[in-house]
Amino acid sequence: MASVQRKSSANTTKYKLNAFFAQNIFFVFLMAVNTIFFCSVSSTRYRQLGEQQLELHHFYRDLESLHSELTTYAARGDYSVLSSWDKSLKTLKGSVSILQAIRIDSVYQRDISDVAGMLGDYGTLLEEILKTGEPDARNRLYYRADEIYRAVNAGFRGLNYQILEYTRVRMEKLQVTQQIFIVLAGIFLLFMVGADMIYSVRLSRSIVDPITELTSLIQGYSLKDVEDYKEVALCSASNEEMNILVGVFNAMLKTIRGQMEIIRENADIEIKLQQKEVENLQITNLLRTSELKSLQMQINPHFLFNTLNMISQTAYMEEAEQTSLLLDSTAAFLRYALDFAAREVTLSKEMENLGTYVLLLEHRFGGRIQFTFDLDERFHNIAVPALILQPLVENAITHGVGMYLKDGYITIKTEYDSERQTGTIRIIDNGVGLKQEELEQVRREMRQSEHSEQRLGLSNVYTRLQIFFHGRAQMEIKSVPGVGTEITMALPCGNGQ
Amino acid sequence: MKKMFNCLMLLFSVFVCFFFCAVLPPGGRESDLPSCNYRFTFISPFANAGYWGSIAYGMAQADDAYHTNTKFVGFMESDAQAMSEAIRSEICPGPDGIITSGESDPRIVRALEEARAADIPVVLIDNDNADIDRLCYIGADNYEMGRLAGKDMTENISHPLYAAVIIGNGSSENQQLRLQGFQDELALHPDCHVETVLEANYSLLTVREKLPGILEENPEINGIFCAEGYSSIVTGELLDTMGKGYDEMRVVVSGNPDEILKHIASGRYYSTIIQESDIMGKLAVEVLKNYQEGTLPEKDVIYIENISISKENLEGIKAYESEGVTWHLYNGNLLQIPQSTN
Repeated sequence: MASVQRKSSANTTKYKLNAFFAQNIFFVFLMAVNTIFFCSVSSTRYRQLGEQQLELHHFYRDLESLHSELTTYAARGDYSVLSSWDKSLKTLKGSVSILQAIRIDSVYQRDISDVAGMLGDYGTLLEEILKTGEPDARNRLYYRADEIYRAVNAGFRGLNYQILEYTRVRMEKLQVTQQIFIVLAGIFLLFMVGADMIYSVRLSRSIVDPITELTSLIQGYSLKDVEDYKEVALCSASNEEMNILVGVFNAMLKTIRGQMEIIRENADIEIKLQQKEVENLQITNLLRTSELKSLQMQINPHFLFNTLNMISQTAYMEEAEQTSLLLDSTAAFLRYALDFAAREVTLSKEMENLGTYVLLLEHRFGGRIQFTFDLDERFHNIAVPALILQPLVENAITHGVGMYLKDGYITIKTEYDSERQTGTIRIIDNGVGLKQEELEQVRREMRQSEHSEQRLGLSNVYTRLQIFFHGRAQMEIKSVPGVGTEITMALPCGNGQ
Repeated sequence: MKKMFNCLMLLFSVFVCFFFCAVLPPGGRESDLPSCNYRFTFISPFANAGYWGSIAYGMAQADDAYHTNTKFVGFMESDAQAMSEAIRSEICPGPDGIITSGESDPRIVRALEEARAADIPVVLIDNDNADIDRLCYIGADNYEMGRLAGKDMTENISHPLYAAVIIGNGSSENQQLRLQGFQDELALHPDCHVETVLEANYSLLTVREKLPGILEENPEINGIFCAEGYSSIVTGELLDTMGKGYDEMRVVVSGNPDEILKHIASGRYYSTIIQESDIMGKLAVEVLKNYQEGTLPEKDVIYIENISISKENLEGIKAYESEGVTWHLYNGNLLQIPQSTN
C-alpha cells in the first residue's frame, strides 16, 4: 500500500522541505549575485565620473604645458623645449577622444567637438611653426595658434561646469538608484521572509496537524471501540507520509479487529465445550448414582427373586392368595427396576410398572390413600426414561398424603394435545402441600440439580427428562399448602422426539 | 509553493529589470544624442529669457527639426568689446555659420569681417547693418515698427501730444529706424511732437535714473514710446511710483515679457509692438542650413511682421519662451535662465 502511495512524490514532506530550502538558496544566491554586480557597476560608474573630471583637467594642464613650450620656442627658437610635442599632442587628442565619449547633452557635444576641431587646427599650426624657419612667418603662425589656444581655454569653464553638473546629476541618479536598489532589495527580502514564514507555518501545520489529529483519534480508541471499527480519515490536509501512516494504522485496526473476532469465536467454542463437559459429567454422575442404586438393589437379586418366588409359592399352597399376589407384584417391580434402569421404555410399559407399584402401595396403605388413573393412551407409545413416574408417586406419598389416616388421593393423569403434539402427565395429590418458600426451593433444586436426599427423585427425574428429550421436555410443580401438589410433565410426541 | 515561487520570480525580475534599465547604460538617456549636420553659433547681445531667449528658443526648435547644433553665446550687459572678442573666439572652431545682431560698433563689424574672411556665413537678426557682408537680415522692419507705435499713440491719445522716446543705443540701426518711423508718423499730425529722446543703452539703471528727471523737466510730456525692451519693462513701474495716472501718461512699448503684458492688462501701457521672435531665430537657422546645402536665400532682408498688442487683443498672445536654452556667457560660464511664469 505504502509503495503505491509513494508514486506521487510531489506531496511528500521531504519534497516540500527540499523545494523550500532549494528555493530560498536560489533566491539568496540571485540576490547576492545581483547585489555584488550592482555594487561593482556602481563603483565603476563613480570611478568613471571622477576620471572624466580628471581627464578634463589633465587635458587643459597638458595643453597649457604644450602652449607654454610653444611660446618659449616662438620666443627663443629653442627646439629642445618642444622635443616631445608630438607625444604631448597625441596625449591631448587622446584626452579629447575620451571627453568626446562622454554623452552629456547637445551643448556639451558641440563644445567638445569645437575643442577637438580647434585642437586639430592647433596641431596643424604647431607642425607648420616647427617647419617654418622664417621668424616672421613663425610669429604669425604662433599668434594664430595662441588665438586658438585662448579660444580653447575660454571653453574650460563651460566644459568643466558641464562635466561637474553631469557628474552631480549622475551621482544623484546613482544615489537614487542605490536607494531604489536598497528599497527593492528590502521589499524583495521582506516578501521572501514573509513568504517563508507563511510557508513555514503552513508546512509545519501540514506536518503537525495531521499528527495531532491522528494522535487524538488513536487516543480515543480502546479495545472496545475496535468493535465499531471505522477507518480513520484525517480532516486536515495531509502529506503522503501521513496518508501512509493513516493507511498503516487502519490496516492495523482491521487486523486487530479480525484477531479479536477469532479470539471471541474460540472463546465461545470453548465455553460451549465446557458446558458440554459439565453436562457429560452430570450425566455420568447420574448414571453412576443410578448404577450405585442399582447395585445396591442388585445385591443377590437372584437370591431375592428366588426367595420371593419361594415365599409366593408357599403362600399360594397355604392358600394365602393375597400374599402370593403381593409377592409376585413386588418381584415384578423389582425386576423392572433392575432390568430397565438407565434404559428407555415406552410410556405404556412405564405406566404398567407404575400400576404394579400402586398395587403394592394400596395394600400398604389400605383405604387411607386412593389412587386414580385417568389415562389418554394416544401417546403412550412414546419412549421415556424408565422409572420416571414411580419416584414422583413415591414423593407424593412421602411429602404429601403419606401422613393422612384417610382420604388421601393421588391421581395419575395423562393427556395428549394433538395440535402441539405434546403429551402431558400429571401426578396430583391432595397432601399437605408446600409453602411458597418451600415450593420455590424445590423448583430451584429441581432445575439446578441441587437436591437433598429427600427430593433426590424429583431432581433425578427432571434431569433425566431434560437429557433424554434434549431440553424440550417441561416439568412443573404447583402446590398450595393444605390443598395439595401437582407435578406436570409435558413430553414432546412429534418426530423430533 | 508554486504561486509563491512565481511571485518571487516576478519580483526579482522587476528588480533585475530596474537594475539593467537604471544602472547598466553608462550614459543614461543622454546616450541617445542625435548627430548633427551643421554647427552654427548665435552671438546674442544679451543672454536672457526674454526677447533674445525667445530667438534662441526658435533656433533650438530649428535644430531639432533640421538636426543642426547651434551654440548660444550671450552677455549679461551690453559690451561691444566683449561681443567682438566673442565673435573672434567663435571663429576659431570654424562653425558653419554665425548669427548675430548687426551692431554698428566698428569692433563688432571688424570681427564679423574676420568671420567672413574665414568663409563663415553671417546672418544678422533684429538689427541690420549694411556695412557687414551678411548673408541676409532677418527681423522686424524697424522703421515700420516705429510708425506703428506712432500710429497707436496719435490715434489714441488726446492731442496735443508731447512724446518722450527711449531707445537702446543711438548707434544701433534698428533703434534709429524705430525712432525715425515714430517721428515720421507723428510728423503727420501738427500737434504731435517728439519732445525728447533718451538713450538708455539697454540699461534698466539708466532708465530708472533718468526718466523721472526728464518727466519733471518736461511736464508737458503725456506720452512715452519705449523702442527697446529694457525700458519697456521698467517704465510702467516708474510711472506708478511717480503717481502718473493712466490717462495722464499714455505709453507704447516694444516686446512682450510678462511685466509688459501685465501693464497692458492693467491699462498702464496702451500697447506694445512685438514680433514673433522665435520665428526669427528659426528662420535664421533655416537660412544657414539651406546655404550650407547650396541654396541662397531669396531675399537678403526678411522681415518679420510687427503686431500691435493692446488690452483688446491681449488674449492669445504668445509669451516669450526660452525653455531649455543654455547660454554660453562670454566669461566662459554656462547659464540656463529659468523660464518665468506668465
